[in-house]
Amino acid sequence: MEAKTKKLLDDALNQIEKAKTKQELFLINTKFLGKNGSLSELMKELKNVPAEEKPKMGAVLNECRQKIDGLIREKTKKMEEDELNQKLMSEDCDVTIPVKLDNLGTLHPITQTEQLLMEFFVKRGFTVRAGTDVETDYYCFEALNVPKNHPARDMQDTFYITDDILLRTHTSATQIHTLEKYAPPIKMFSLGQTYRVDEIDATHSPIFHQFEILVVDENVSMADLKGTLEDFVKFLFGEKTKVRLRPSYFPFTEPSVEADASCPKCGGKGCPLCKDTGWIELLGCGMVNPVILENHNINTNKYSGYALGAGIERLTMIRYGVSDLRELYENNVNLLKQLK
Amino acid sequence: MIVTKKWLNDFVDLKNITTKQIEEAFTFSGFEVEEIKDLSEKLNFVVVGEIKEITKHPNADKLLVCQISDGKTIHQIITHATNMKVNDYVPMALEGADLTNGVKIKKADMRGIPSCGMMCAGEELGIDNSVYPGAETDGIMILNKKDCYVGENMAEVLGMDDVVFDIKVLANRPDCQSVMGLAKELACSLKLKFKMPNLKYKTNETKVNEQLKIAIDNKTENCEYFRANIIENIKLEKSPKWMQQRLLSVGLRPINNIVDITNYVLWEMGQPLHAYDYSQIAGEKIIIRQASSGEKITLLNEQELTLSENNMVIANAKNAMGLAGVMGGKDYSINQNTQNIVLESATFKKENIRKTSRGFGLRSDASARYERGVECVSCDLGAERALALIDELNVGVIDKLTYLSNSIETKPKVLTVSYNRILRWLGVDIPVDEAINILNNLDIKTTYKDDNLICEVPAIRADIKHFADIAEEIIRYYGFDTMKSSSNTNTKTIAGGYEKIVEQENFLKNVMLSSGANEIRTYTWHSPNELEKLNIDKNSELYLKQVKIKNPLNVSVSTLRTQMLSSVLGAVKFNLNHKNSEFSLFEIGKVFFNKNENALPEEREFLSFAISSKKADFFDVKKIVEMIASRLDLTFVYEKDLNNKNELAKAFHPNICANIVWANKIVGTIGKVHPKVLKNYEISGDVYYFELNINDFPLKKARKIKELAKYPSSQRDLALVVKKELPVGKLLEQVKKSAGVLCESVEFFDVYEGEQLGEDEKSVAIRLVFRKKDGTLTLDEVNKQIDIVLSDVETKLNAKLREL
Repeated sequence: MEAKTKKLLDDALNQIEKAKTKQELFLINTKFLGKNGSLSELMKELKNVPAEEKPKMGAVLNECRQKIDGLIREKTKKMEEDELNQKLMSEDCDVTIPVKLDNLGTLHPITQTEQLLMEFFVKRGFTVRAGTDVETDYYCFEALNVPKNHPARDMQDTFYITDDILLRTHTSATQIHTLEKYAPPIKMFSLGQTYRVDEIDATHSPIFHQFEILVVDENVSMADLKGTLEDFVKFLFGEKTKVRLRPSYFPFTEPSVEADASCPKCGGKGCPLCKDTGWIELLGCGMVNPVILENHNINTNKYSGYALGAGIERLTMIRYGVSDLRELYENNVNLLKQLK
Repeated sequence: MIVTKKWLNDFVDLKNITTKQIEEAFTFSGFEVEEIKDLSEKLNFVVVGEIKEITKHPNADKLLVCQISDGKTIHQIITHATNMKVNDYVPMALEGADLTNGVKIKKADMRGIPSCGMMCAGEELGIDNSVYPGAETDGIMILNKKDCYVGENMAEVLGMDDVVFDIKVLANRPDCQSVMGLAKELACSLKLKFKMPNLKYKTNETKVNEQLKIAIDNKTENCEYFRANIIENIKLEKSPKWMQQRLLSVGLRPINNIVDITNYVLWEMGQPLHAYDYSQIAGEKIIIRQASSGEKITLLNEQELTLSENNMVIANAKNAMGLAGVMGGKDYSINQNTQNIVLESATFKKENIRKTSRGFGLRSDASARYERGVECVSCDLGAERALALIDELNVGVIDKLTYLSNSIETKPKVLTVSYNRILRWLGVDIPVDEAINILNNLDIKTTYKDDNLICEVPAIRADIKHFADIAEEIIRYYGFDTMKSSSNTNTKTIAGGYEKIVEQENFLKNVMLSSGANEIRTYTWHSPNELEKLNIDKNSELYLKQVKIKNPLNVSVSTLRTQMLSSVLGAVKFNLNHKNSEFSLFEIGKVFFNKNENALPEEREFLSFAISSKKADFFDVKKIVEMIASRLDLTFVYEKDLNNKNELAKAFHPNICANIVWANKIVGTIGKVHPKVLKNYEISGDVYYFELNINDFPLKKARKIKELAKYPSSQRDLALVVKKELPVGKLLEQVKKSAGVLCESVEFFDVYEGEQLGEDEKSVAIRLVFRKKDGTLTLDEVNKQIDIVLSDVETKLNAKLREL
């Protein structure tokens, strides 16, 4: 019996050795280890073995089964691995071939600046209010303390629809609508399209955009306005940006100032953008003229406010390095696509 | 306003002040310096030389060798010129000079002899006879020995040793449209003393001509103050060189002593003056009145005007002698025969002068000042300064009498303001003494009592009306740079946010990003005929409700748009012309509809989208509309415009176009742009487009997540044969209705037309998904529902299940 087992094992090892496919190994497995396989047949003979030799023979047969089983498994696994490796090696990819992007939608540069401005002011508690492009003389001028004979009201500067209805020349009209509807504390932000009689050139457009803020609360001061401006220019052009205020005049603020920012391009050393002055003109602002507040029944002994307004095109041109304003309105997709 | 350093120096001692300091002083007190020009820049290293010797050049026939002294050394200069002689004084440019004509002077060798400079002609110094008599002579300019000394800088000789500042004076400071006004600010800024010019003059106690007199009759409220002085026995001649040089340096042309004095005072004091020939004042009467309609006048500039009642004139008993505040009349001005003059100094209402000057397109230095506003107190000051100059220059004999139209208030107005309030307004702590000092330096005499500043504001400062104006004066000279900023600690915290339409626009712009389109910005106006290009009827609302601009830049931008299509097509055309292809564009913008004459027009916000591509079709655009609907959780219905309810539909392909309907209202148009319209815009290729009015759409709501299904679904595909003209949408609508509550979704996936079907038939393939919330569906339940669907679509839409 031992000899038979030895022969069976040699036989099996020989066949496993020769096997070339998983299928062959499967058949070998059935042939030797299956229900009716040769090892099972041999197992049946065990009952004829004398009782004292039974344990030993049992162990021999078991060892034989484990050996065959182990070898088949091992070889099958190796074959599977070889097969997989072969498959993987047959698949190749040139990773350097470029991909083509679908069209990426883009927002207009003016929109991108607008969204940036809204982000800054909404975070600071401002409510964004919409205004109309067409306004009455009252909201655009009269209520803002712009005197009747002020050059801005002239036909040479303002587009009129009727004697009393016009295309707004600034977003400041929204200040008056806000003061009419809401009581302090007020923190209003507004932006939109504005119109002035100007021929189109590299820095002028008869249709342009402005933004505007209005703050009215107790004890609001010029120093607060300066603080807001400092935060704002840092947000726009970076931490190192400085603010410079120059006295100016607007009928709706008192005191009025022009705010300059240190040149974002050269940092103040002087370059073509700042015309070698180190500063760029940014916006006009000031303390809301008490006359306007009083006209809206706001007690100026208790309340005060500041307002600020600026052109959006200019900020956009500085941010994106556009030197000719007309490019913003040509809508050339080659330009627009760059602002992903 | 142009001022020069030397002229300012008459009022403030600027001896130790640099140009840069002046520039900064003006800038930071609110007077923007627009330009600075050093008149002597091109005259550096040009001095007066005396010719000591002239000899022939040994190696050249046409050259002369001159030895010229600058008072210290002799310079050898070689020249072609021949018009000078020994002992002449000439302008001599030495090494380093950079002349106005671009010539840079260097030592040179001319035919073997060194030459170390150049004698100059007037042209080479950039001057003509009006600056220096004889400047235009051919050859070297020979100087008048009385005017100069050897070695003197030519800039000084020519009065060009000066710096010119062009300063922007803001609308609230008409008092600074003068050298004096600006000098006062400069003195305050530099903390220097301000001194008034000479206002003293001698008058004649007993008239030379006993009968000389004048009466003033002011018949119009547009004249606030009018004064006149008579000057007898005038000597009309050139004004002195210093005065001519001053006028030239600010761009005024010297004429004669009297005109020059009026111009000089206008510039220096900001007060326009006018001199009349006494003999031309018929009736010895000056009448200030509104012109009669059709009245004619010929002005000094030869312009003949026909006047209306809106124009104010200065007249004698018969005729208008001048257009008040704008320009004098030709026949009444002084001339060689004038013996006596009347000097006018007046104040007119700025609105009236403005109207007249704008109306005739006629601006003068005088009208420019009157339009901004000239205070009555300035009239007396200006007149007195002119009389002082007349006296100083011996122009004539000044009569003692001053003729006035009325009396005026010259006292300062007193303003009492709380200092604490000013400090709160500014947010800074400025010692009260410093504030008082600033105000006093500005001529606002100020005292302090119980927190109050009591300010005497001079009449000329009409811009100062209340405490905020005083606050501005203080901070202007305290310095915005000195002021510490604060961080809004006093303001209450309010939650920021957006008004609805702004939030909607922001949201939709970000939604549109995923469409792959590029956002554009277009102008909201166009030509009144733009809608014709869009095939839109002239009787349509889109046409009739257009808002028109009264004073457009030109007719092509005179009408506000009532639709977005024309704007977007403009951008499509631009891109195609620039060889861009395969692109899509979108815009969110406004359209305007006129309501009635006196009301503001209605403004509506629209979202527009266009695709220009060889591969695009209707459904590429519909997909984007549906994307918007889905993001906003809206249901849109697409209907052909069978009843002509949508005027814009005319701009589209008659069959490939739909009204977008939401909440039973047409909110937009979608379709293939009509080839005729594209031709009108010179666009080749197809354009698919939609526009949507976004005003009424609700904001995106927060979504609730539905519970995920626990039980399996059952799916059935049906191919239904229907008539070709039946819209798929109708069929789907019916199927949905009939499929009952168990039906989770009805999906369209294919439409087929072909051989196996009748010619007027199509097969529509749809997939129905059924599911129960509380258990597994049985075959029976599904079959029952499918039977209902099939019988409904057969009876209602004549649809049959396709036999395969």
